[in-house]
Order: sequence, then structure tokens, then C-alpha cells
Amino acid sequence: MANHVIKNKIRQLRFEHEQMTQSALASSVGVTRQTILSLEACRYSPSLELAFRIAQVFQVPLEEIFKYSPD
Amino acid sequence: MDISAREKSIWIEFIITGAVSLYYFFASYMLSGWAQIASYEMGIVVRNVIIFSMIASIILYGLFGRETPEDKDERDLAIESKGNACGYFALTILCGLLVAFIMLSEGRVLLGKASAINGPVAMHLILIALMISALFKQASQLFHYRRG
Repeated sequence: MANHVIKNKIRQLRFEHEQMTQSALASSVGVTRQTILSLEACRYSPSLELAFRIAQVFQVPLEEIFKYSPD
Repeated sequence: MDISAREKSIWIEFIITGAVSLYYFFASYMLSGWAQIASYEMGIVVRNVIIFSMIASIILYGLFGRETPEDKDERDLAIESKGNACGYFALTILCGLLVAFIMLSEGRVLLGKASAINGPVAMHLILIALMISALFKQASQLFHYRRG
């Protein structure tokens, strides 16, 4: 499940949004804190639905959060 | 190490399954090579397995598994799916090997070189296959949880 192809800025966006905690973000998008942890470490790629939910929480376009960079 | 309640639960299941499997197959094999299914000694082994499983579950869940696991999210479902696939794959391979083993044994019987596999032995081999596939499933889930 390790995936270095899709990078993200979730951690950076959390800090920019009033130091949002991983738990708070996890509750907002309906996943566990460990899933957010794995996302931030780029060890897990979210489903499209989860990616959209995260973008909605931060009020930014999807492309600003996730970047596809094939090796 | 950041472990969710669900992952802890799988660790506990993995440890109990492994320990119980080892005890059961070692103890039952020591009873005249698995031939003694309907015996007092076999009943003692089964009783010990049940008691050991209950005590191990109470202790391990009491110490490490007090939190209620959260609802499964997409990552939990994906990991569970991969674990199931791994477990079913292991079970398929082991059952295939068992069928081949029985067919070869029957062939050797026809040639007068060996005795046929009896019911108790076949039963134990199937149980081994089931236990190993369960361990494969849990090990796969734990691997993916650690890997992310």
C-alpha cells in the first residue's frame, strides 16, 4: 500500500488552518487518525471521495493538495 | 508506535491463533501420531485449547484491548480485503497440496507401498490449512497496517 507516486500537502494545510489536529481532520472527513497519519506520510493514497472531502475541509482545489508524480 | 485499537485487536488475535495452533498440533501429534481422535487424551487437549484461548483473550484484551475500535474507514476495509485475499490464497494452495498428497498416498496404496491416509490425519491436515490461512490473513493485515 506504500505509494510515493501521490504527494500531498495535508500537513502543511492543517497548520495553516488554525493548527488543526490530525484527529480533528480525521473526524471532519470520516476516517481514523491513523489514516490521516498514513496520508501525510504518503504511505497511503486516498480514494477520490476522501480526496474531495479533504479538499472541501480546506476549501482549496484538489490539485493544490495532491500532486501526481510518477517515478 | 502509533497503533489503532483495531490493529491492537488483530495483534491479539494473531498471537492467540499462533499460540493455540502450536499447542494444539504439537499436543495432538504427540498422541500416537494423530490417530487418537476419539480418546480421553484428545479431549484433554481440546479442553486445554478452549481454556487457554479464553484465558489468553481475557488477559490480552484486558491489558491491551480496552479501547473500542472505531468504525472501519476506507483504509481499514482495504487492508481487510488484502488480508482476506492473502488468507484465501494460502488456503487454496494448502488445500491443493492436501489433495495432491492424498492422491499420491492413494497411488502408493495401490502399489502396495503405503497405507491410506485415514480420517483423523486428513482432519488434522485440513485444520492445519485453516489455521495457517488464518495466520496468513492476520499477518498480511498487520504488515499493511505497519507499512501504511
